[in-house]
Amino acid sequence: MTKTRKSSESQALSDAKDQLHKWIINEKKCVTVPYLSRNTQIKSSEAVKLMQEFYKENDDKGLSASYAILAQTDSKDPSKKGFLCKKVVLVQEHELDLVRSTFDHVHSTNIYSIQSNPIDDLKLLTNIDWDDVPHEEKQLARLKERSMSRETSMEPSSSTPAQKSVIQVDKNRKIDAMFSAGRAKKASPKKTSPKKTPKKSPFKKETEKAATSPKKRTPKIIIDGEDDIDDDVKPAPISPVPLKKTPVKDGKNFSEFINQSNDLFCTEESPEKVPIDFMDTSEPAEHKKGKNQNKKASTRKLKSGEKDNEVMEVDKAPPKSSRIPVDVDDDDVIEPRRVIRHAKVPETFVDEDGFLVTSQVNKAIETDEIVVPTKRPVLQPKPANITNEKKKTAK
Amino acid sequence: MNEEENLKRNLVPFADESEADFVLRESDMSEENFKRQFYYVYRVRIDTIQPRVEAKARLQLGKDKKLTELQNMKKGEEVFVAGTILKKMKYRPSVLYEFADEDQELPETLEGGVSLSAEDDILELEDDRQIVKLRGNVNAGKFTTGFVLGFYGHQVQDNYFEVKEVILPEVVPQLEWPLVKQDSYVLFVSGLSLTTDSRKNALVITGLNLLCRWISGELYFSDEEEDIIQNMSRVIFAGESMSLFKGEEFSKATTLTLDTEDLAPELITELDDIFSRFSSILPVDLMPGKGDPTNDLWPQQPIPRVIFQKSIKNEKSFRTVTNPYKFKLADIQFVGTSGENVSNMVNLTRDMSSLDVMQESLECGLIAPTAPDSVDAFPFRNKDPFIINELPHVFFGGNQKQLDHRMAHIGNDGAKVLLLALPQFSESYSVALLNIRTMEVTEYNFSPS
Repeated sequence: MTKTRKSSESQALSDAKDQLHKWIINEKKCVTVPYLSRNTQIKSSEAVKLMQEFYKENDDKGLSASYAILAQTDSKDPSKKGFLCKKVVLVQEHELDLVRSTFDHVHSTNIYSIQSNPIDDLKLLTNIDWDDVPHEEKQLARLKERSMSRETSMEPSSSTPAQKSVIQVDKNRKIDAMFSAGRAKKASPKKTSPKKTPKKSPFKKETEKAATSPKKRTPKIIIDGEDDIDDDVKPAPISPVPLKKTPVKDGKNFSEFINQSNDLFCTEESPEKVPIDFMDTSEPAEHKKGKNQNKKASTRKLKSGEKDNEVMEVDKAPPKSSRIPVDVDDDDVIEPRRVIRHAKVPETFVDEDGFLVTSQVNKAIETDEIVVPTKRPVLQPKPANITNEKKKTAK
Repeated sequence: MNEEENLKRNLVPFADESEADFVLRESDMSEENFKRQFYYVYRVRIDTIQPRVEAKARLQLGKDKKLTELQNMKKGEEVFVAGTILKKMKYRPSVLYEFADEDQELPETLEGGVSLSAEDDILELEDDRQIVKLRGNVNAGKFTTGFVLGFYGHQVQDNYFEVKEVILPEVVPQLEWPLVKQDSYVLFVSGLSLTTDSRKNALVITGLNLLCRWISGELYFSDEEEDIIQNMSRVIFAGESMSLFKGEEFSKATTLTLDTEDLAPELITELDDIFSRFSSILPVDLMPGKGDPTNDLWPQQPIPRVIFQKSIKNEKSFRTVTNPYKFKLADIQFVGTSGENVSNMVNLTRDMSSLDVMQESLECGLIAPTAPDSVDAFPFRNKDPFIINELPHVFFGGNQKQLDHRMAHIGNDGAKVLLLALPQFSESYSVALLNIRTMEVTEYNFSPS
């Protein structure tokens, strides 16, 4: 047994020596004692001896080395007489004598690394070799791992919310797949495709417009967007990722509902839930004003002359039950509008590092309350009591 | 060859004893927690420690000297009184000064990390009914608010008490020192203080990496050093691993404001990497401190393990513990803190070092006498967790300016305690290695420069 062990140890040493030659001479690697010890089957003490011998033997090959010193310094404070202080230092070969002279007593000096080119910063030596991967590569691998796990698990990122960034379509295939998986879970009571019923899906166009104009992510005020409104369609959530869609032709600014995210954590009871077909990348239908729409708009009109001093923020298209056309351009007619409230909604977006981030964002959400706005609506939240009064008036 | 094959460690028996005193229970977390006054904590403190003061007075003054209430004192009569100390300090900052009008004259404040104690500071003694000011044979620079002490002297004026003798509480008993047969080492690291300053962090992490290589045996120096490393039992991180709060020195009133720009999850990731490396080599106990992601009130609860995703994979060897922390290693009792109590007392006293205030704390039977007055503490209803009922063998405090240690004799019964002030690693790059057989402390320095 003893002979077998000795022979295996000597074999290991021999192999380690060969490896050392290969790494340093052939591959020009920087080899440290821990690296040699971990990657060959030898102890650290043996690795130190081996490297010392190797360095001596290959003195003519222009190699450089760094050393680890364990030294002792005596305290100059008389109250701390007898206090033992040991210092562990890594030094370059050319600084060895200078550093040793600064200590009162040097316990040991051992070689720590050998490399073909001298190292500028010895701090790098301590921060590598943990898993045989350089620190930077390890960080990159960690980031990659994180992004992969987030794409599959849909967990919120631990990184701080970064600015929203436009992600190219080819990079979003995984995100699209994720959304499609989420869509599959949703029950869609009304599935309308933009091709078939363009009148009934104005929100799709708003999304498309948002997708094609990724810079326009901030909420916009609808001055006269109610022509697009279809009562039968609920407000659609907006994907923060711009998809390839044709630009919307009507050129109107779209409402706040771009802020609604296609949030997979929304329950099916959420009124903001959008039909799955909304996310269809096929060419959207053109927006046209239908007769029916105008009729519906006309039925929403209230009596003129009713004024409301309260201001209202106009953004999202109202849901089906609201039949209130608003025409701010016409100074003579002031129609009631729906109340917009600010609330925190979860929004999913991809940050600059490529992580899918879900965060709570202050958005304006349209409620069922109705109020008659002033001629020039200004962004302001409305108190509940006034809204209720106007609602009664409207009724 | 991996670390396990490289080194075979000789671990010693370990027991965590913090749960009884320092872990918050449901009964402590009632709805009225933060409406509660701190009177209850002081009540328990007086009820527990005052009998010890009286017992010491019987020995010191004679059995005939009984406790006299302050309201029953007669002028000129030598009496023995006891109660809680209240220290009125000229330079003590107050948050109320920030709300003062421009016309009001504010007291002077001292800048920088110097002692706030002045020569004209006044000590007051408060018992159940009355308060008197103390003068005479009592050094106001030595004590702080929160001590429960006795005094022998007489009343000179309506509200002044002339002190002849100071009577400290009777020292609590200590477990017998166990006989440790083999060398076994505990490594103390304190004050990593990682911040959003990446340059500073890089230096600290480099030093820690060097330390980690050393304790893993990868930095081979000699067979003696290898023996030390083989016999290393535990690593204690004594608080303040993060420095999220931009707290100013105690010379200004510190309000709890969190600079949200400093909150960096990358800090947690860096720490997780560090702790996972250490815990893969040795058992690690992580104590919280000021700035760490846990509650701020003492006793601080363990940092939630879940934030260290890598380290918790070393389930048995990585533990997050309370601050203060109490444990036994090879039957040697350790009690320690992150050092906030020590630094606080050094600031509020004069000409006293970290070890001096630690010794005084033990003599007076309190881990943190200034809690809850100037060290934020939880408003307990019926307990004071900082009362010492059993004298430890080793008493350590982290985050001090430099490493310091001495074997102090506490009381007159021959009890001795090793006092250990741990240096801040972010400043000194030093750690303390304690041999529990010989009680020798060695400082190891891993400065990257």
